[in-house]
Amino acid sequence: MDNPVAVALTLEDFKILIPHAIVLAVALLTLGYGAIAAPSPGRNAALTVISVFGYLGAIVAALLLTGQPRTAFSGMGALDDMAVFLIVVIAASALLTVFISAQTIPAWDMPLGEYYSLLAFSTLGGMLVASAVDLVMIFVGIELSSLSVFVLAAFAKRRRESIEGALKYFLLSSFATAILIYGMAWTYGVTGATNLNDISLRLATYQDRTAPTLLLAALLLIVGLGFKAAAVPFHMWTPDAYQGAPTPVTAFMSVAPKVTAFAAILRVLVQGLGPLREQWVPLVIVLSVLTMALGNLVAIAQRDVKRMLAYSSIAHTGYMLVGLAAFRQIGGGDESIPSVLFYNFAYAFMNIGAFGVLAWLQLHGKGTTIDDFNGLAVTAWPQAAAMAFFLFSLTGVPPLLGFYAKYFIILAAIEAGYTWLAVVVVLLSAVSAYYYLRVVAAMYFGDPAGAPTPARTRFFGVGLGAMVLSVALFGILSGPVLDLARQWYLAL
Amino acid sequence: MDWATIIFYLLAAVAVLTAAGVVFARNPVHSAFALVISFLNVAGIYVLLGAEFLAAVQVIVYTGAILVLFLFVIMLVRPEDLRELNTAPRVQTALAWLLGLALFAELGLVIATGVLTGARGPYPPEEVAAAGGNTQLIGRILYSEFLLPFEVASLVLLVAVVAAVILGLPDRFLTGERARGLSLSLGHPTGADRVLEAERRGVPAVDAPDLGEPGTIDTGRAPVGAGRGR
Repeated sequence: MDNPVAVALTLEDFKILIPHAIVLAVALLTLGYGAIAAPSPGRNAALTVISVFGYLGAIVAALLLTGQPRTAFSGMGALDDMAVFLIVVIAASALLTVFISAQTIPAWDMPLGEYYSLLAFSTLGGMLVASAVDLVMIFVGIELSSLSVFVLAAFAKRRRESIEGALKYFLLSSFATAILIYGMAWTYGVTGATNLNDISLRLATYQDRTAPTLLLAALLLIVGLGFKAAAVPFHMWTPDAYQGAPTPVTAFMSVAPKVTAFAAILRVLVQGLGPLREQWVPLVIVLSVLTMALGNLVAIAQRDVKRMLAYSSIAHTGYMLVGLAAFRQIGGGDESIPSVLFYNFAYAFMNIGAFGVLAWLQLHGKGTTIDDFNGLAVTAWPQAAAMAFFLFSLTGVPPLLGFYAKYFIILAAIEAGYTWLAVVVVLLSAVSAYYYLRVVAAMYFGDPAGAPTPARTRFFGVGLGAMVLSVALFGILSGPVLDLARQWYLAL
Repeated sequence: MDWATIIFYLLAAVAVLTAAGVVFARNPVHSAFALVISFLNVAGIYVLLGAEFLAAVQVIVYTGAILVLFLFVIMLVRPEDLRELNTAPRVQTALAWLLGLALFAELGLVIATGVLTGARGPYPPEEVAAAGGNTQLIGRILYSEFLLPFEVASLVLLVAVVAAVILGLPDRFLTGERARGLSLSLGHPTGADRVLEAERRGVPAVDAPDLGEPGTIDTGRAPVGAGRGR
């Protein structure tokens, strides 16, 4: 017509969506096949194979597409190298979750096809956020990711706690979404743009960066994203939702939505509101201290290991926020964002691993309290060793992956001049050793209270083994991985 | 005063009054109907502002879909369960008044002083006029610039549908031994599993009694709509 909007949509545009398309295919295939085929071990195996190869394919596709930052879809999405890093972490966490779910979910009489499908949809949402450079895109991606997780949290719908936790998660998260989109509306109102690069460019020209409208926009965005990342004081949904959900789901939702939230935080705060750094950094510092302190201190009081891990995951959000608080500027000479990226990477392996052992115990007729771990080293030594390994890593014992993750965060904080914040991280990590190692002590020094009932879990074991190997291997290779994170972040 | 201003005040007055009616009505059905009228008047204001598309969406989505959903829920819930409405604790009522008035004062202050100014967006009125109206422009932008989020939004809706099926269907249909999908009779008021169970036992499906067998049928609760003449 007379004034066509000039948009060139080429095949090149769709290239950035190849990893996403693969995961979407997994979601649709598992949904369709799971609905058509009658439940049988063969069908379940096929669903698992589809998922495993889908996520592997997405990871490989993303890695093959590195090194050529390109935006597409009129600046809605970009597959820059930071997006690739986050996509790999999110897809890997979904892959690890498949390993610990494949035998657990059917054993608990839950529909595997729909389960895998929702898992893939949530992963897809996270991947879309990772590669989004527009507020609208970030919003729909976050919604896709969390909506699927609400349903997964309610998957054990015959159990009251599962429904209760999911409902709390759903209501509070909707509330957070409203705040988030209100913040986005203010940001758009003030800057006149939804594209993050445009927002950053316009903010850089502003003289008065403490205008109340700008501060309100930043505040609302931080609150909304803080909810999604489970930062204190916006963490209220976390313990109940994590405890109520089936354990493999808890493993996934303690990692993928958190990484998604951090992807959104990195995009919005760093790439978009980067020029407002001096205004939002103090807020992030306050959040990080509160989050670390509450997460670690309340975790001490928990007898239920699942709930303890829920609080510990809050504490880990705090450590990641410390890395974010050290942010100076986009570009060189700044270790903050690479350290956050690395922490997300490390956290995925060790946290899903710890929840995985928990799911293994439940599959073998045990509960999730600390007493159920008594003497596990005698009755099931490989699982006990794996659990000890993951817990040592979560504590931050060298030379495991978790140690390097914390080390880089602390380094970034010191470099940015927040030595006291680094001291807080170290002190609270020492506190965390108490509740993590208490489980290790129960496993190795407790009296065995009956052997776990046998169950077929070879595939499960392969997954746990892979995670143990990853935690050890990437611990040793932490230097190269961090270099990769740094280099890929610089390409932003 | 020109006609547009008079119409605006008329629409605004009715919208505000009916909005108050939503809060103060004791019968939830009255509240819902007051909300319909309020929404329609707001749609009228959108037309006055030259936002025809928003007006149409307001009528279709809010008045049409969401409110009908409200009414369905209200009518399906037994009236006994609604007796507690409008009897919130005194503290809560006081707090609601306080916060409401604070918000009102805030908004009034902002409008009166005009301190909040933003940047010009990418689509100022001239551009909208050049494109032939905001419906045309929104259509073009939605299917070009915002194509990707638009498509992802459709995925969000797909997940919502899957979620409703998973959470709403009886467990047997999701994990049971029976081939699923084709035998569902979702239109039946008492739910599909009751019908199938009844068929198996040769009982007339419509008046099927509670069939027991915990684990297969949820017998703890009468099905929605049971035992009430309508």
